[in-house]
Amino acid sequence: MTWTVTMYLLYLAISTALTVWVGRTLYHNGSVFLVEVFAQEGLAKTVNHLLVVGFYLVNFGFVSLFLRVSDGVGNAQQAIEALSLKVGVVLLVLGGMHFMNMFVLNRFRRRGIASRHSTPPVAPDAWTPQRGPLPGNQAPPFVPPYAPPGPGRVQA
Amino acid sequence: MRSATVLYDADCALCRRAKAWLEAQPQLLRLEFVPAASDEARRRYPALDHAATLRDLTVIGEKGEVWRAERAWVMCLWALAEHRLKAEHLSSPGMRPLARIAISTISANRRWLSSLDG
Repeated sequence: MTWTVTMYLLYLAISTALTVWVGRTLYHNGSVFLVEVFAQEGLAKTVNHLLVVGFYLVNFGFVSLFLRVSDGVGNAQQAIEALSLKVGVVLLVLGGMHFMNMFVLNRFRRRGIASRHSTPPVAPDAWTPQRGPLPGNQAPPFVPPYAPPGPGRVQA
Repeated sequence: MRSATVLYDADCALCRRAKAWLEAQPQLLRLEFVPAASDEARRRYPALDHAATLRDLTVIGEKGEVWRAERAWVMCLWALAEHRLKAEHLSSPGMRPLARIAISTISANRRWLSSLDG
């Protein structure tokens, strides 16, 4: 087995292990966010699963494309240097993906929290007396879309 | 708060477009649209300055709260499931002056903007 092949095998093993570790971390810790946002465990689980599948696809795709060493590797020192460079780049990409995932999850979470706010963000300019709609002209009961139930939110 | 009434200028094409867009969005508060200064608006809000509602978009809450101009726009966005975060961002002290300038410029030129639309 040449140094190049040894390096490739080590690179694949380390990158795969790192990707699976980060993916599992995202899966386990992301579920807390998503359950809060969707308020339905089934839906949260599905979204979480889909996010992690996307994460694996992008990472394994990158690891696979980044495998080749164009100049070849002649000795142990070159093999370690090449391996270190490859693993370093994979780690940075994983880090970037991880923060992107966090950003997406946090956006979901903030949106979920905001949908439960019951006080308008701006104070009214004035108050005016009002009369209700004419009899027979009442609007049908209002059911808000996908907003999760929670404190501060009145159910229609 | 579960619903709000929006008094919009029914004679302005841009305002009608904005109303159609608002109506099509998923809402967290029910938005009800009543043409500004119409008989229905006068019947519902007898004490309101209806000439002012033709100048600026007006939103009226369930308890008779009145929001005008850029505050009314913030309230419309706040009613929408997809845009509530934007509304809360726009109402922060740093963004309020910008929102005020943008809305008053569009509002003052809305007839002209509508004519561009054809």
